[in-house]
Amino acid sequence: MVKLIPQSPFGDALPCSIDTATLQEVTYGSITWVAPFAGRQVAVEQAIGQKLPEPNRSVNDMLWVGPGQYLAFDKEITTDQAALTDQSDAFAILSVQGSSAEAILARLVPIDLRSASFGVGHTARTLINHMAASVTRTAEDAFELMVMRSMAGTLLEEVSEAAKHLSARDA
Amino acid sequence: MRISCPYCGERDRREFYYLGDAVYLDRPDRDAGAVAWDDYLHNRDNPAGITTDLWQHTPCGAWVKVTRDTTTHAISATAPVRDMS
Repeated sequence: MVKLIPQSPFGDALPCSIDTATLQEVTYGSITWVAPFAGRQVAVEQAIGQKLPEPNRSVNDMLWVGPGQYLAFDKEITTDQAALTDQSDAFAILSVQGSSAEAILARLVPIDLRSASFGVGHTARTLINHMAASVTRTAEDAFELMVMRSMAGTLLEEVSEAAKHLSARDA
Repeated sequence: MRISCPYCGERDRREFYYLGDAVYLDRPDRDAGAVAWDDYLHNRDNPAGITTDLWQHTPCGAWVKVTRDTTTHAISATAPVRDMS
């Protein structure tokens, strides 16, 4: 098969730093959407050899993205107990890392992302301004923001603007 | 206004999309007759008080049946439509 050259949804804008925040693209070789058929949750867990994440959680290489829906990253999955679709090119994923990450997202996301209520491994389906997104805390000072690939430019602009405003205020 | 998604917890109203009266959940039989279908498709109550309607929590995709009071805006219950079929 022809080997295609991967292109970033963010163009050549990343990685970049704004004050104390570092923005980077996160890429995966494959992303598979997994939706277990009704009552087949356990059968799917047996087939893939691990527990599916609880709602609003991510574990290892799997992310909860809605009721009965999960994304598997760089993971070979074969089962006839779930609907599986290839979503490898569907998403743009932006990592926001730094001591200001929480404050930047507080300007964009209408839920409480402070570590007391949103710890490492927590994920939320919510909005980044007007965009539906998955927001996941990957470390004490780092988040991953996942939107549809076509929204990459908007996502980067929203996050950069918020970071610049915050840094201007702190200066 | 804040609505509780059965999966995600309490969220801002801006995360939700409004469909309409929860009567949509009680679809008549195919041969129920013109009156039942007319009711289902067109006729809605407009109560000053308790009403039930359908909202979608768009980020996670869940449809939610919301019981609320139109005079106080208080929401007394939310339930996932997914478990009702």
